[in-house]
This record gives sequence, C-alpha cells and structure tokens, in this order.
Amino acid sequence: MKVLIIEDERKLSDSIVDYLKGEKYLCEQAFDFNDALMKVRIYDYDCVLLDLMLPGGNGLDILRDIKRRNNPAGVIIVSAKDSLDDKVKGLQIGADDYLAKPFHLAELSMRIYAIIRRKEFGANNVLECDGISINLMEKTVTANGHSVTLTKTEYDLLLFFIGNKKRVLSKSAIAEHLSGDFADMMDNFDFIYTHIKNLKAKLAEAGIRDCVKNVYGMGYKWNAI
Amino acid sequence: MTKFNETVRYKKPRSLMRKSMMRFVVCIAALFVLAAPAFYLLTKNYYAEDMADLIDAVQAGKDIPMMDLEEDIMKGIMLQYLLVTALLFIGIMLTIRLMSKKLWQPFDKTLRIVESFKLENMKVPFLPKSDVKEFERLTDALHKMMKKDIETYVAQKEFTENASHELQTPLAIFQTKLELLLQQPELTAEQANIIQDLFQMTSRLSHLNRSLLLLAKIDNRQFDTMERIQLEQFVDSLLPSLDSISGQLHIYRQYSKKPLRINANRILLESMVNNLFINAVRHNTPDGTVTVSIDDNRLTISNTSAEPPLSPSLIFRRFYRPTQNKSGNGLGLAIVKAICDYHGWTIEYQYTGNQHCFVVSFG
Repeated sequence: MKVLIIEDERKLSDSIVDYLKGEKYLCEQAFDFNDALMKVRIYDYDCVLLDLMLPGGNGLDILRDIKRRNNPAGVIIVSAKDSLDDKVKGLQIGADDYLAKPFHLAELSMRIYAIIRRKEFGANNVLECDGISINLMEKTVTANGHSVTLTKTEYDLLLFFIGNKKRVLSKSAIAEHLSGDFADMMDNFDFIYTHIKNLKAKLAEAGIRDCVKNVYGMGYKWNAI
Repeated sequence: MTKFNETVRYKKPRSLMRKSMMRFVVCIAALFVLAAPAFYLLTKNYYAEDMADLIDAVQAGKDIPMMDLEEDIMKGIMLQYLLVTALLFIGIMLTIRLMSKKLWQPFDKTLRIVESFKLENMKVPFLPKSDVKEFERLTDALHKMMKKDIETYVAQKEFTENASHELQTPLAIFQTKLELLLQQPELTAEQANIIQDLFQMTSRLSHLNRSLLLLAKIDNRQFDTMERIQLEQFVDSLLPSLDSISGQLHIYRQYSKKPLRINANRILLESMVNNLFINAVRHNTPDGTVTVSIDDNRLTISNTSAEPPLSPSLIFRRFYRPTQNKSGNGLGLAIVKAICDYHGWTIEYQYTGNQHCFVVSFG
C-alpha cells in the first residue's frame, strides 16, 4: 500500500510517516506544490494525503489534476484552513475525505484504512479479524459465529479499534472519533469508559475475552488474540 | 473614499463667526434701508411736526401756533425705540434662520451620515464638502478617524483569524508527536500519566483555538449562505450524536403540532444547538433531565442542575465562568450569543421550576 503525504510542515509529515509505517504502509513525502504534482503524475498511490496550503500553489489544483487524469488514488484533504468552503469544494472536486488540523493520527490511519479497503473490495465487504467478522454493508457483527448486537457507538468503537489494531489509542482520540464536535466541547472523556465496558461485555459473551486492554488509564489498545 | 478628493471647487472657506457676522450685517442693513420710509414718517409726524407748523405759520403771516414739542418727542422716542427693536428682532431671527438652514446644513448632513456609520460595514462614507472652515476641519477629522477605525478593526479581525490558523499546525504537530510517544513499548505508568495530562491540555488548546476561530469567523461574517430549515427535523438529526455522551440522562422532546421553519446558516445552527446541548449535559445532575421544546417561534433547552441560578447578564460574556469548577472554555455560550446576534434572534436565560432554561426566539 503506497501513501503519498503532501504536507509542507516537515515535522508533521514525519510524524505521519512514523505512525503509518507501523501499519505497513509505504510512505512517500512531498513538501511543496511542484514536487507533489510531479509525484502524483509519475507514480501510482493508493492514497494521497493532501494539505491545501502549499508553497507554490493551492492543493485543490493537485486534486483537480488527479481527478482529470482518472488517477485511482483515494484523496484525503488535511487542512489547517478549517473553512467549510474548502471542505465543500474539495469533496465536490472528488476528494474522498476531509480532516481538519489538528487531528489524531489514529483517526487519520482509520480513514486511510477505510479508503483503501473501499478501493480494494468495493462497498460490500466483510471484515475478518480475530474471530470477529463485521459486515460493513449491513453493519452487523458476528463473533465466534454468534451474532452480536451493538449500538451505533459500540459499532464505531469496534471499527476504530480494528482500524488501529496494534496501537494505543488515547482517550481523546476515541472520544473525538465517537462524537466529533461534541467531544470537542467536553472537559473529560470519561463517557467513553461506559461504551468500552459495554462493548467488552458483549464480545465476552460471544467468547472473545479481554479484547480491549486499558493502558495505564490513559488509553486503550486492541488485544489481539 | 476616492470621491472625497475629487469634488468641485468651492468658495474659499471662511470661519463660522465671520460668515454669520457678515450675514447679520447684510441683513440689518437691508432691513434698515427697507424701513427708511417708516423713519421718514416718524420724523415728519413727531420730531419735525412743530417746526413744520411754525415755518408754515410764519410764511403765511399767521400767529405762532400751539406747540406740543415735549409730547411729540416722548411719543417719537417710544415709537422709534419700538421700530428699532422690531427691526433688530427680525434681523436676528432672519440671520438665525438663515444660519441654521444654510450655514449648518452641511453639518446636519455630516451628522446624519456619522450617526448611521457602522464599523462592521467597513466602508468610509462620503462626507459633504462645506465652505465653512470649522465644518471643513470636522469633516477632515471625522474622515481620518473613521478610516483609522476601520483599519484597526480589519487588522484586529484578521489577527484573530490568522493567529488561530497559525496555531493549528503547531498544535497538530504537538498532538501527533504525543501520539507517537504513546506508542513506545517501554512506557512506564509514570510517563503515561504525564502524557495523559499533556493530551488533555492539547485537547483544551485545540478546542479553545477552534472556538476563537469560529467567533472570529462569525464576526467576519463568513457564513452568508442561508437556507430554510425545519427546526424539529434538524434537532432530531442532532440528538443521536448526543447519545454517546449523555449517559444516564433523560432527554425529552416537546414539539408543537405546527412545524417551525427558520432561515439560518446550517453550520451555525448546528453549532448553536450543540453548544446548548453540551451545556445542558455538562451542568446536569447524574440522573437528571434535558428538555428540548419547540413552540411559538421559540426553541427552549432546559436542564436540571445542582448549580444555583446564574446571572442572565453575565453568562453570555466571553470567558465568564460562574463557578470555580473550570468546566468548558468559557466560550460556548458566547458562541451561542454571537450566532443569535448574527441571525437577528434573541437568546434569554431563565431559571424556572428548578430548571436552567435557554430560550432562543426566532423573531
């Protein structure tokens, strides 16, 4: 899986690379407009992370170029310019997703994972992982052959864990993933505890025990069996 | 602004004092000239009457007639006094009228323009030229002042927005580096605690930053797309995302039969409703209630709480926190207020039946 990171801030770009490497993605970096344009024209990528404000040009022009050439790469816009105009424009031109800075790497990784899966298997696919199978189309979950009924929040939580299997997920990343703007306004993220407890209990009932591990009270990690 | 410099040439400006004196002198002179026949008659019939009679009698060789010089002079002086007073009075009235009508006219116009001046429109209005020195100076001074004000205003607004933008990237770097640190396999519990605290601070920082940016954008009027929204549907669509944070709270909905449609910017409306929800959840008791009611052109969100009634005049201020507990960043209700002001709605806080109520009236 090849990912191109178009981001002029070198330190941020390096962090993203560090994180994604662990997910076995092959990462390449571009730090300005021309370099980025050249790379998307020459090489094939599965996913492109695109910052909009680049030295030498506007990221949206790169997006237009990708779409005009029917380049199959999935595009996630990552922008500090948290303006709705850009988001709408970007999605209209054909970006697959939009993420505003600052974001959690876990969230980014999850979105990349979703895009690549969608590109590879189409919309109708079943995710198999550690004895759990998730039908992404019907949003149903079976564990060890038993059907498990999850609430929407628990389902999102499960997907988030599976999308970041080997990672410690901070409470704030989980909270933001579950409730977006709402989490932004909350002072503490204790509300996620209940959801994680319920998810663990439901999976344990189907025979999958201790699948989520608490890491020193600061975050959670999917405990692969 | 450009118009200001290319006006037609006017008469040489003179001072207000000089102009009004000129008018007065001209006016009085004209009146006295016009009143000359009256003075002539006065003189002929009173002061000169006896003299004329005497001359007539001498010429005709008659006896000297009866003289009433003293009485004539008395009457004459009185009449003359009245006439002069009347003329002066008319003269003064005319001058004042003229002054207020003509001389002060540009001042009046300027005043009206300055009164309707709005900083938010960011436009220096065209002020009329005048041939009065003082008004000319006033116009100049006002023009300079308004221009300066607008420049300051724009700079201040841009600064807030740019500052928030510039903060996004370092914040993003900070947060991602923390996440990488979190992945270190040999992390100890102590280190984990420190990282946990740092995570909380970055969340607070980025939330604060987003709130400031939103406020700056509302101030800069960057949300101009309005659409017709049915409020009940809109609120219902937001409630599910609230589920993940509301825990044990009971949420009640009370809608009147007639659906309420309002003109609003979707993003701002969402932010407003979310902020009111969060507020109602955050300050609630563990087993409390949140009631959302829509009726009569109003949206009311009320909640139970252990906190005492709040001050309606203070709670919408930026960074105001009524209690010592540092919950929230103190901008939530300020954002709600800004969004209401932006749409021309009013928001009120009430404390009724042990419930904190926020009422938005869509005018």
